Amino acid sequence: MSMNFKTSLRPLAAGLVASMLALSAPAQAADQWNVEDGDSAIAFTGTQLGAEFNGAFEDFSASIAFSPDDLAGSSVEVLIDIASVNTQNADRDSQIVSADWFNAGEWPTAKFVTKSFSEVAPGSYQAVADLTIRDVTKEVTLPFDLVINGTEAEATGSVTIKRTDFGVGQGQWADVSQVGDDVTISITIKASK
Amino acid sequence: MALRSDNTGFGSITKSLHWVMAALFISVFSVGWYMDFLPLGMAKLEWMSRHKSLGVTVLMLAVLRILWRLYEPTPAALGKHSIERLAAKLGHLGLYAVMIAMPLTGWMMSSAANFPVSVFGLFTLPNLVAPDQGLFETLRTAHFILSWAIVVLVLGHVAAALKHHFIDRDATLRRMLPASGDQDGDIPASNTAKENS
Repeated sequence: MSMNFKTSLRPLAAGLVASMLALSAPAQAADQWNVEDGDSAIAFTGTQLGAEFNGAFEDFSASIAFSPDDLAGSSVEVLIDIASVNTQNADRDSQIVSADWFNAGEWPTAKFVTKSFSEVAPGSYQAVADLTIRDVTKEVTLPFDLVINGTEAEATGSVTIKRTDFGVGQGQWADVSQVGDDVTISITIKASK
Repeated sequence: MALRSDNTGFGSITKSLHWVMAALFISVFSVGWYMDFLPLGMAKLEWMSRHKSLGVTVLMLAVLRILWRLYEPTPAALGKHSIERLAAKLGHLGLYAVMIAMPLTGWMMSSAANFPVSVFGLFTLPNLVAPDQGLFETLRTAHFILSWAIVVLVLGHVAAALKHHFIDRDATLRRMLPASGDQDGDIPASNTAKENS
């Protein structure tokens, strides 16, 4: 009886350990990637007086865990330094960080945190993420293309958001006739593992 | 009234261009100064937008006008002295120069500021130069100096036209008026002929 108990318990214990490993496995299975700052960019295109202009946030950091074969275990978190904005116009840049726009004094960082990934086609994905700008968090879907060559990867994608959804443009600037509501964010991320 | 000018009078196309552009000059200039004094805000952007759109209109009309002028005959100047005719020639050349240079420096300024120009929201002009803060400052200074050059040229132009009209009592001003040419009696033919000879 006791012998029987031991022998029957062993596979059960082994199975328990295995299943615990399996549960914790996804978080470790997705590859960690380090962003290559010089080759990566978070750029955007807005409209002003009916004409498009472009700019970029030059300082950002990203924690990337991503494996095409483990999307459930993949995650990306990007922190963007609002004060690093560059639209190649000093007056406009100082406006962008001011209280009526991003209010970088109060909310210096924008955040992009993925919630899930899905594969649309080979090499083409969608990330559903929470985007936080100022004190507003909204879900956005970022479609992106990904090319992985061994230990190097490049992701490119873009998503159009409405600035007023995030309170970017307070008071008179909530009017979108002169400064357009739609802002397209384009990312190019080069990373290595 | 003929569309084309002849040796003594202006055609309707030149007259229309002249007066439409005169109105535009005054509008763009006034808007330019007005918007410059506004604090940064919606109103300033709206007026800047109008200023740019009107400025580009001036540029387009200026190109048409210069091409048209090269195509049609120009009525002879009525100044009695060669120095007057030379001054008129230089003044007109100066006006043609600024009606091209002023919008161009404005357009380049916008490009250098990475602030592309939309024309009445209908289309956007390509950038003429890459964004460059230093170049922007230089162009802004040029745009400012040109605005005063325009004031001098336009005041000289108006003063000369009035002098021809009230002192010389010739047809210089009258022949640019919209109605002239409809009634030939407005322009003393003998006077015109004498001055042309």
